Amino acid sequence: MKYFIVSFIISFNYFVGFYYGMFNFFYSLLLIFSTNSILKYIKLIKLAPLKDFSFSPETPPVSILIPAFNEETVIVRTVKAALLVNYPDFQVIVINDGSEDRTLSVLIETFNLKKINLVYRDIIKTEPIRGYYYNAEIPELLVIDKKKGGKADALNCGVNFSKSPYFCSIDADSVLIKDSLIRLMVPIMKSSVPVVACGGVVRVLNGLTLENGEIKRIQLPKRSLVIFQIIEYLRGFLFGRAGWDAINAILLLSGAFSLFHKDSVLKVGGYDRHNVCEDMELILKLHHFYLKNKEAYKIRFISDPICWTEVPENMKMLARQRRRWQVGLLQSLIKHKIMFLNPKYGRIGFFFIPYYFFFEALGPVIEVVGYFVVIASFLMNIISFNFFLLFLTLAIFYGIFLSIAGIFLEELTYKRYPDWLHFLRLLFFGIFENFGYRQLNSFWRLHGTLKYLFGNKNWEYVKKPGAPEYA
Amino acid sequence: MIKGQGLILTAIILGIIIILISTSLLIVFSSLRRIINKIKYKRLDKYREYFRKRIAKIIELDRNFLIFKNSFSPNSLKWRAFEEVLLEYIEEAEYREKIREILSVFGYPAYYEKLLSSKKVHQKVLAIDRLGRFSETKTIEKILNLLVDENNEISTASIIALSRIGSPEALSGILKRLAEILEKNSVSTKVVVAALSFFGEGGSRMLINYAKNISNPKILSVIMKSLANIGSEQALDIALKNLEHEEPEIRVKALKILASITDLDINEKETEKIIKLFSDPVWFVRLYAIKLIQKLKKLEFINQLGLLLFDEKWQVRSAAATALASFGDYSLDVFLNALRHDDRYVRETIFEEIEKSGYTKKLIDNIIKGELLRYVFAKQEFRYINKFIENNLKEDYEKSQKSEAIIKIMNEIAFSTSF
Repeated sequence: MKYFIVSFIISFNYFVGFYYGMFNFFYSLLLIFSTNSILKYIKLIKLAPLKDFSFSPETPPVSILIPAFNEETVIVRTVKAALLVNYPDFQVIVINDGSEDRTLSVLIETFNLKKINLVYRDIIKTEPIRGYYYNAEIPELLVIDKKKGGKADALNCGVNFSKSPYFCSIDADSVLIKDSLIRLMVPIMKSSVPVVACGGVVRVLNGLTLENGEIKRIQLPKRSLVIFQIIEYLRGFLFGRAGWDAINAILLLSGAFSLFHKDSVLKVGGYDRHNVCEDMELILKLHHFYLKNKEAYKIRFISDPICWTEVPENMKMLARQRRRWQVGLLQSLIKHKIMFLNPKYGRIGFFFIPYYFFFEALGPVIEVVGYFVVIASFLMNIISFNFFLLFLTLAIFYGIFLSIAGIFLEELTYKRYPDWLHFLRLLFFGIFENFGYRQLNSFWRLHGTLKYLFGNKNWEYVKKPGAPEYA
Repeated sequence: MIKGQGLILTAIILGIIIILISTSLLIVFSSLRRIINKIKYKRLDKYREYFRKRIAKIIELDRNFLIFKNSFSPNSLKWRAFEEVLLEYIEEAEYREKIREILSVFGYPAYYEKLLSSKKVHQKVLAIDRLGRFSETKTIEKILNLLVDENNEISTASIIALSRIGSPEALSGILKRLAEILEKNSVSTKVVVAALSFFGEGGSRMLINYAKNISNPKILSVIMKSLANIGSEQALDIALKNLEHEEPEIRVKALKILASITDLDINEKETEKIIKLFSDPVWFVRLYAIKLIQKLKKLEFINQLGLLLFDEKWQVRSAAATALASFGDYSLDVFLNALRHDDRYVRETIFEEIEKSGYTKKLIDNIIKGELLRYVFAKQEFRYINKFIENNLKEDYEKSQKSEAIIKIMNEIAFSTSF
């Protein structure tokens, strides 16, 4: 029996080592793809016909959907920034999802809105509407007040109302840059294959200085937790998503800044109200639909259009967010399990969904358990120092390399943090991210997995800091 | 216990060293790049400023640009800065010819023409872009050959560059290859239409002549969409001719062309063709027919528009309500009759358009005059009018001190609901 247990532990140690090796291998591939793709892209974006399409009647109208729940401190800033976008034909639809604070009042007062009666055509069923608010002097803006139904429900309401062929979802605490929308749209217009969804980059707003809805000064925040998230976002977007886009395998776009073809979303029934990560589930649903029906389509990620958004500043809220993301990931993958290893769904079903399952969904479980088992095995002399060193190399040292690679990509391309001090701080945190922060993240995600397994799939509300300092 | 071997330990340590060296190299490279770029962009900014001031003065005093000749080599920082400043001026029509001359003297077109044969995509696209901005007509043929390139970036840049050149040769070249472009999908339809539209009024005649000989609906649709974007009067005949085309997309494009022409003047027979489209089997044709009649302000068709308030498609109903609202008082009877209809969606559509289009004042003026009361003595209408007045009008009229009139009317309505 003892021999069996020891053998099992040794085998598990081997498995953890192999798992980390494979994980790092895939991430290295992503790094190569993304570096290659982004470097080619930044040479071309300087030549993109943005100015021409900014005034062209061919540029499709877009509805910017802003679902809001208890966002009284930031909603005006978000709406003001959205109204300033440099785009020929757009509409801003704020969906107040049963807020319990003054979100609606603040909007009405600031924009001098009047209640009007509109016809609601609920192509996708949603919670009932309580009122519509409009000011003929700001014809681009419409505010919908509805009974609380959750973010997905609010977005579906916005989709129902949108009269444009495309809609762009942003978070209520996000700030769109003036040319973000046109930068997101031009690649779609250039594509000969219909692009049904396209995401941009989400950057961390915390610590930035704003004035009248525009970014005035970029600086790194003071809190370490936020800087760790900046590193994560750099890695996740510039490295991760750009890499997936290079091989046409985007399975996730951030709901904080994504553009969708409305009819395509309607075809798949809109956002899933029962999923806590409605953005991911929608992307999988689109893949599912188009692959099943063998229709040509693309889902893209573009690495230069930016939306700045707030991130949690304390551990409690960050933990909630990461648990929710993990629950959402599992919900989405399980819901579309028919695609798993199914050649009928092409590379997406046969390779990339299994990757997400084994490395993103199961990853936290193996990582957290792996840390305990490997460290305990080493202390109990079950594994050798060599193996333990190998584990540390794969789990931590290589992780440092990948973090620094993310910062390097940022330096090579967009360099949104221009100061030397920013650069040095990012490097410092990039290294130390791997000594605690990453492990904590894995732990929270493991917690999310357990929550899912034990049937607790509720949305955990994440309170983010209010409006940042104004100039 | 797993027994490690010296070799394995060496390999692991080597691996760690490689990782540490790679990480260090990334950091060093990033740092060096920052330093180098800072110096480079500082110098570039300095040169740009210098050239901006000098060029402004030279243009103002009509002096010779040759003082700059031989002071920088191709692709140097000065060369780039000089080019960028010249490109700022080339956007303005009064300087365009002069700037083109200067660019030619300094060898920019020749440089980029050579770059067209580069194997690197971004260099090719850069060359195409620049030649387009310089309006370099000598390179039209070379750029035309790139319209069906396998690489979408190259073919897209080519068509846009040709539209920037804007010459008849460029347009003629695109049209000769249009069927191939659309068939191979080397450039998206949207970009093709946008590029053809950029040729403007000057390109209309060629587009129209080309369209006359086209039977392929996809190509015809592209040409007609471009003509609609341009808004040329010359396209009137082709639009009228295609109002009865078998393809609904073509009928819609025809309507869009007509809508794009300012001061459109059509006779009765031609207007009848448009009115016929009110009963088109395809809803978006009906929609655009309504929008056109709205634009033409053809009040004699108010009743036909009124019928469209009952269309099966909400988009058509909404467009009809918008058109009627734009006709002001003339539509009042049509609206009021429709308000008496049983169909809730019709009534709600009307109210939606009334509120959004600012028709409220007209309606309340009629309420005050008492005319509306003739129509509101039915409880169903009361429900809507009451809510409507409460939501929108009471506050406005209190502000304009007409509250007595509105309160009077509201009281009368409230009194009437007791029947």
